[in-house]
Amino acid sequence: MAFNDDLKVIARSWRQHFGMQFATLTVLTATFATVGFMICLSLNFQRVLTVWGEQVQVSAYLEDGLDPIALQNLKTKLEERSDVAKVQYISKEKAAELFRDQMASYAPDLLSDSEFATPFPASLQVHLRDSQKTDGHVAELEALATELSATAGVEDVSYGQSWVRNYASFVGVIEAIGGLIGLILVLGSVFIVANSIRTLISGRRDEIEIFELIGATSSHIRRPYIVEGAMLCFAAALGAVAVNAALYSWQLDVMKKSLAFARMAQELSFLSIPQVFAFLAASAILGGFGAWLTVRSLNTGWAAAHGVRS
Amino acid sequence: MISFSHVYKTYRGNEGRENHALRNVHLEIEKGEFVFMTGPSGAGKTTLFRLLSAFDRPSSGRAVVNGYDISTIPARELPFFRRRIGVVFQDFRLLRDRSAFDNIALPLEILGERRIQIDRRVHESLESVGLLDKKDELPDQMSGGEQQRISIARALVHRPGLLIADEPTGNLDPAMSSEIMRLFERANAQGTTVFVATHDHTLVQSRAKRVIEIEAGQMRDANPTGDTWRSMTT
Ligand SMILES: Nc1ncnc2c1ncn2[C@@H]1O[C@H](COP(=O)(O)OP(=O)(O)OP(=O)(O)O)[C@@H](O)[C@H]1O
Ligand SMILES: [Mg+2]
Repeated sequence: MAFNDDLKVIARSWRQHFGMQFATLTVLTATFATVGFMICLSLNFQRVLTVWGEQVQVSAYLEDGLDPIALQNLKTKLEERSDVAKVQYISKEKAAELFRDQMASYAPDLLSDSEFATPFPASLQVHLRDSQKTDGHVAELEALATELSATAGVEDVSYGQSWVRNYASFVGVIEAIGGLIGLILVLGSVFIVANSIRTLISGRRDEIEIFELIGATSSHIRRPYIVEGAMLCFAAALGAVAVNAALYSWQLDVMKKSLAFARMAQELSFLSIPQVFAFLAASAILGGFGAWLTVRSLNTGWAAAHGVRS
Repeated sequence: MISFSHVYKTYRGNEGRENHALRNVHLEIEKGEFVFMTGPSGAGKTTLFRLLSAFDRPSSGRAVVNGYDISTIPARELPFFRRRIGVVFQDFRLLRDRSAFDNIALPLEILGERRIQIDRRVHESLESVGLLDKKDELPDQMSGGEQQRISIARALVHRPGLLIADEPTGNLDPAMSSEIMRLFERANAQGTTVFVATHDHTLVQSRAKRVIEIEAGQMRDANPTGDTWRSMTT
């Protein structure tokens, strides 16, 4: 049987059971849109975490008046470490300047405040290598900080954005919950597809019997239903991608504004093309599987003798 | 080709009462034979045919068709067993949402024949049952007799080795009935074993074929000549 015939079978399902098919498709689309949204969210959480990770650095504040040779030794020692990507020396003057720049747009008043003339200590900014990202990264950072604080010439150590750790564990929790909900939704959609196929089949007992009696193989009889389940979920996934794309482009502006400070907007992104294809393919496979669950016990070869069970 | 011995088919009634639709049936039909089966309503004709075509299994006894023991035929091989048998069902069993043409094409599609081949064979088939002009009609738009002819065309279109026809002329006028019988005889001449159940005595009488009688699930071979038939029934 050709794909063409499968399409005929599907067209007939829609003709005969429009209400049910439409409801099924709608529910599946909503479900997949939710799952797709969560995947999108998770990917973006990960990306944000990575970006923030890049900004995370250990600042080793140096004793006032540390002599240049000791400074150079410390810098070289740090640079030689395999987990360190870059060490940057920030002089007292540079530190004050950077701070003023950063605050300029948020609190212009501060600039004129004499308090802020107070010089910051000179520091070494230690950047870690790319491979040390996210969770493991934080531990790495901690170890380095502890080590540095015990080093001569270093007065104080901060790895400033230690809230990255909190964020990482927050993302971990969100992803665990999201994963659980996603799993439930996925199982739910398998059930929905299986159920819809079951209804279609129960209306076609006679036909299945006739096919069987004339000598159609099981795979011949089952195939259109599996294709139908796959197509149903494929269509739902397509709808879900569209819904999410619309939501994304609508939200992007809002995000850009509200997240401007964290410089996150340019890091947010939608599913990539390969990810969209993977999502569609996975959905189709899911639908085929749901249908298969229903049809696998459909025809034993003796349907006519026992009446088709569905 | 067909070999039944000690075959029983027993249905259990509502109050657990056993009803032997077939009891201790012995039947031997050789390849290439043309056999009629007659018997009153409820005698077990349809039941016997259901076993012959592996649409149901015997309750006990040994039923061998085309070298397959019906009781033990593996599910995997069932479709291939059935493809070598053409069946005219008493209730036609046409697909109600397919045209006459598509119904007849079904066995060929299942065999995976090429489209051109299918078109040609189905056309021939439609012509042989005189329904070429109805090829696009749905079964519900056709008379009982027309549906019956479509079902006959479908049973023969793939040239099966064994044709089983349950009351194939029940809805047909005498002229059409003899036309159908000629079709069966032609198939038989080409090597198909034909086994026909019928109530129609004139059909049996006018042909010198082997006749099997069945009554209350038990069968006996009647004398194969029409003359003897007449003497037996009078
Ligand atoms: N599925 C079934 N369950 C229970 N009893 C059945 C079933 N099918 C047939 N029978 C019984 O088996 C007996 C034989 O039935 P069968 O249909 O074989 O008769 P038949 O010879 O084909 O009759 P007819 O000429 O009216 O078609 C009948 O008594 C019938 O009630
Ligand atoms: Mg009958």
